[in-house]
Amino acid sequence: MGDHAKPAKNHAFFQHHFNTVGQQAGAAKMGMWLFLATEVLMFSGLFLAYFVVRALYPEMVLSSHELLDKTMGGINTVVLLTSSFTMAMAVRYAQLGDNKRCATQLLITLACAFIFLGVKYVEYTGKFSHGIFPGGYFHYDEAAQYAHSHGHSFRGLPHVFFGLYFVMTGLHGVHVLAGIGVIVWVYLRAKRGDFKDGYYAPVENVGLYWHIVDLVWIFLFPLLYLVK
Amino acid sequence: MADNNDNKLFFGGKAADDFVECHEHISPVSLYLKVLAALFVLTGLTYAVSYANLGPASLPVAMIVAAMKATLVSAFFMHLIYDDKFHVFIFASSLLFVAIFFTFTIFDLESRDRLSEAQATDFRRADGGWDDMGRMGAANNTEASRPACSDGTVPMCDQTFAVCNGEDAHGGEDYLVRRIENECFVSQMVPSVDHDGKPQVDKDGVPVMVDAGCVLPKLGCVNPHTAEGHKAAAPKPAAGADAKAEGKPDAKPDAKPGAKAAPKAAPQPAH
Repeated sequence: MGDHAKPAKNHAFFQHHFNTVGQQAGAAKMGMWLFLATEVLMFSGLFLAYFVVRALYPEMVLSSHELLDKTMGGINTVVLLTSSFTMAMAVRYAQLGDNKRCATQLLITLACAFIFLGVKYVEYTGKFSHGIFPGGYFHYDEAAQYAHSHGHSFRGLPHVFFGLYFVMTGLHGVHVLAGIGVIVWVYLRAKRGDFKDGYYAPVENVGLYWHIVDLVWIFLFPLLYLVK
Repeated sequence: MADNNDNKLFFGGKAADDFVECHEHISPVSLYLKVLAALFVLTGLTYAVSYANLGPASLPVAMIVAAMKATLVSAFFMHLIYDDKFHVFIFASSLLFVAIFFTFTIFDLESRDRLSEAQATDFRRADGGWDDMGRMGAANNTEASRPACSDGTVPMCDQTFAVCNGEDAHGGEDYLVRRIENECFVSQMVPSVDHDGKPQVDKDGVPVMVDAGCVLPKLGCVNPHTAEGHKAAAPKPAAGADAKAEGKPDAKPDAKPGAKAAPKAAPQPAH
C-alpha cells in the first residue's frame, strides 16, 4: 500500500470559510462526485435509447454497426485507458507535491486526448464522405453503396443507428474537449507550482472527471463497435 | 486529528473532538501499472470475442467485461476503494436511478404491444426498412408476406409507418396516399372521407383517393365507414379507380372496410 503524506494544517489556497484543509478538499470532492452522478444520468438516457432501438430493431443495429471501424475504436480505447493511467499518475504526483512530474503526466494525458479526437475526426470524415451524416442529412443510396462495397447490406433504417452513433460519440467527444480545457488549466497551475502542502484538489477533481469520460467510452466502445 | 483551535471541525456549534477528514491515499505506481495492464487485457478480450460468433450471448459478455473495466477504473484510478464511503454512496445512488430508469422503460416496452391490442390501437412498427432502391418499408416485405390484391398484383403497401390512432388519422392517411401513389401497385382506390363522412378533397378540389383494398383494413386509422360509405360520399372518384371498383360484382356489402372494393385483400386480419 502507498505511503500517506503528512496532511498540512494549512496551504496557500486554504479558504477561510472552511475549518480545515481536509474539509475544504472533502467539500470539493463531494461536489465533483455529485456532478459525476448527473453525468451518469445524462449518458444513461442515450444508453437506454440504444438498448430500446436495439431491442426493437436488432437487424438494423447489427447490419449498420458493421460499417464502424473496430480497429479505430480499439485504438481509441487503448489511448483513453492510457490517458486515464497518466491522469491517475498526475494526481499521485500532485499528492506528493511534485509539480514537475505532475505537469509531465498531464501533458501526456493531453496528448492522448488529442490523439483520441484525431482518430474520431478520421472516423467522422470517413463516414461523411460516404453520405453517412447524422439525422436527416443521411444519404441512403450513397451509404448503401458504401456498405455494399464492404460486403454488407443495410437492414431496416440505418440512419437511426447512425443518428445514435453520432449523438453518443458526439456528446462523449464534447466531454473530451471540455476535459482538454480543464487539463490545460491544471497543467498551467502545476507549471506555476501550485500543488504542494497537501493541496491538490483541482488535479484530483479534474482526474475524476477525466475518468468518468473514460468510463463512458468503456461502454460505448463495445456497444457501438463490437457487439454482434 | 485536530490539535489546535484553528484546525477544528464543528458539528452543531460544538467543536468535534474526534473526526475523520476526507483522507488522502497515495497509491504506488506499481498498482496503477497493474490496473492499466488488466484494462488492456480486458480490452483485447472484448475485441477478440467480437470476432467469435457468440450470438445472443455476445451482449451480456461484452457488458460484463465493460463492467469489470469500469470497476477497475472507478476503484483504483478514481480511488473509490480507499475513499470516503459517502462518495461511493453518491456514485452508487446514480447507478440505482439508472437501474430504475432502465427497468421501467423495459417494462413499458414489453407490455406496450399487449396494451395496444387491448385498446384496439393498431400500432405497427416499421419492421421493414429501405430496400435496395432506397424505398422505405421493404425489408420484411417479401412477396410471400404480402396479401395478393384482387387484381392479382402484389401490393407494396403492406408495410406502414404511420401511428394511426383513431381520431388523429389524417396525417397518416396523407402519408399513405403519397406512399400508394409512389409505390403501391394496387389500384383498388376509393375516395377518402374524413371522420364526419365528408369526402376529402385536396387544394384543387380533386378527391383524395386511398387504397381501400390493401391498406385501409390493416390500419386501425380509418373511420369505420365501409368502403360503400366512402363511395357514396365521394363526389367523383378518378375514372380508373371507379371503373375497377364497379367491376367487382362479387363484393359483399357487409364485409370489412375496403372489402367492397377489394374482396380478396380485405380479409387479412389486422395485427
